[in-house]
Amino acid sequence: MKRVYVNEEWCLGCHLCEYNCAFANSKLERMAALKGKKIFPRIHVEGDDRITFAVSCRHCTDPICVKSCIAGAISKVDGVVKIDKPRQVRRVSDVRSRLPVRRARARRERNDAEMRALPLEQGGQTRVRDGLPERRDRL
Amino acid sequence: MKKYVVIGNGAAAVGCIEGIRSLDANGGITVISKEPRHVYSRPLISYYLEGKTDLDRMLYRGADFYEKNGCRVLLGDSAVKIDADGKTVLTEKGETVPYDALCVAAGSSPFVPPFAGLETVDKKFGFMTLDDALALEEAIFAGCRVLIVGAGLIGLKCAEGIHGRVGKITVCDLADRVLSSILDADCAAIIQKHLEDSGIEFLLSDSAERFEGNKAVMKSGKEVEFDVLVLAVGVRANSGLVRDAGGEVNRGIIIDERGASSLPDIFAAGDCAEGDDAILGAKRVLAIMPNAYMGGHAAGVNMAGGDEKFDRAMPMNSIGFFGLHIMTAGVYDGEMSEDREDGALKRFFVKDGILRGFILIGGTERAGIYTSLIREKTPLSTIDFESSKKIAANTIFSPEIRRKKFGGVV
Repeated sequence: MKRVYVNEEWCLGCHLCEYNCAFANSKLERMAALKGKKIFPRIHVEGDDRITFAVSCRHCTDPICVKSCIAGAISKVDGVVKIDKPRQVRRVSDVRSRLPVRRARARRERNDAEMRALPLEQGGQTRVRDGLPERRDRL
Repeated sequence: MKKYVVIGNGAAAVGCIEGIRSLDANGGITVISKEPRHVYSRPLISYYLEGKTDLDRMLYRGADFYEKNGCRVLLGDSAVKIDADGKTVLTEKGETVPYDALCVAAGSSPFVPPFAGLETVDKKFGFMTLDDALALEEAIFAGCRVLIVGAGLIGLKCAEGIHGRVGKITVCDLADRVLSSILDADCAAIIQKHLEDSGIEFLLSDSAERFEGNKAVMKSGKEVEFDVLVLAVGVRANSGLVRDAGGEVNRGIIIDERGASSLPDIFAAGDCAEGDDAILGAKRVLAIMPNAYMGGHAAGVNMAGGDEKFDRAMPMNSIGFFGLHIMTAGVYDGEMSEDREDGALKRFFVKDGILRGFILIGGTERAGIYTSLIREKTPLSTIDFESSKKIAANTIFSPEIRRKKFGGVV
């Protein structure tokens, strides 16, 4: 399965990956429409004044989050860790303490289960048009 | 074709079934389930009462789970005897089910102390099963007074679940603090205050001595009138089947890291089992859902002839009340250090240069990084732990570790 791999020697910390992730799932026609909006990307740039790197779901071989979810709302299908939105309760932050690496920061007002990565799940292909990923249907 | 039997129908049973099927697509699996229900998530029963989920969404696996996994399910029947020599399980309805490998995933039962006069109480409930929750839902009404005996995880989650639907909730406990199994005194005081601010009343270091109809007379002499009584004192492992069959049992069924009991071809997992706590370095019952699933999965793989160890069981709890979230993990020994900020409290317990446990109240973001430090016993001298106390960040790790975590397949 394809994953987003991180090469921190090359990362400049520009946060464009976050915007592209949000845009790819936004159903918007133009990325500029995101201007001024709060975005909820599934990839996050972390770092300090010395080093930056982007972090997203690792779709672990042994996903503890899947095994720990009290609602059974996370599953791994064909190598992809997925959130089963219909099954989740309003908050699934129980899962967060089990995550071996990290996920997105908590977004208290939203479903915490959204802290999944891979905007390209659901077996979809990202088609590149004009250098930007075309929007895809949501879950 | 191998014959598998699973006693129980919860998270450990699901883990076991999925573990078996990861190696053996054809063997026959018989599931004996006392509760006549499709597998559902028990921790969600308070969320159900709160209206955050519903009966359909409480299923722990899809409606076609048994069918897809080729399971024969004896719903509403229970195992009454294991014949370890003859390798059969006798059920209450009189069926003798033969097995080549058996997994006991029978969970736990509420422990009800012998309160005097309990029989005079008309509306009394436990809070373990969905049926308990549905019966409680029937009994409560707007304005009703509820007495909950037990200020542990179950009792307090029940309080939160019914809070918006009743008049008054009083919680009593013999312990001197709330959540005594996972919180120290200072942290418990914070949570108690938060719950009191939400309108829940407490009677701690006190418990019911006797019941007289709708009245509880406390050890302190206080009297509490109630319309509905909830008993959430504690639970006990359902280990009797294995004990009676001659297996080694302590507080739970003793298992090794493969999930095997002391009897041949009999495995156990979940709340009825007592396995190794990887952090404590001793055996104990760790009745939490992730351990049930993972222990069950290992047992299932091993029942099917594979080799899977579940050697990372540890206490982990994540629980919230009225918007305030708590996460705890590991054991609270060694030197404690504390970080307080914006109403959030973090306590870390470090021994011999290793993080052993934590309690987080409020600031629970990214706690998984702390949990992984405990689980992997990472020497704190190799990371920048001090800086991570405020906010857990992956910058505390060395570039080599990050390369492994983010640059490849983990």
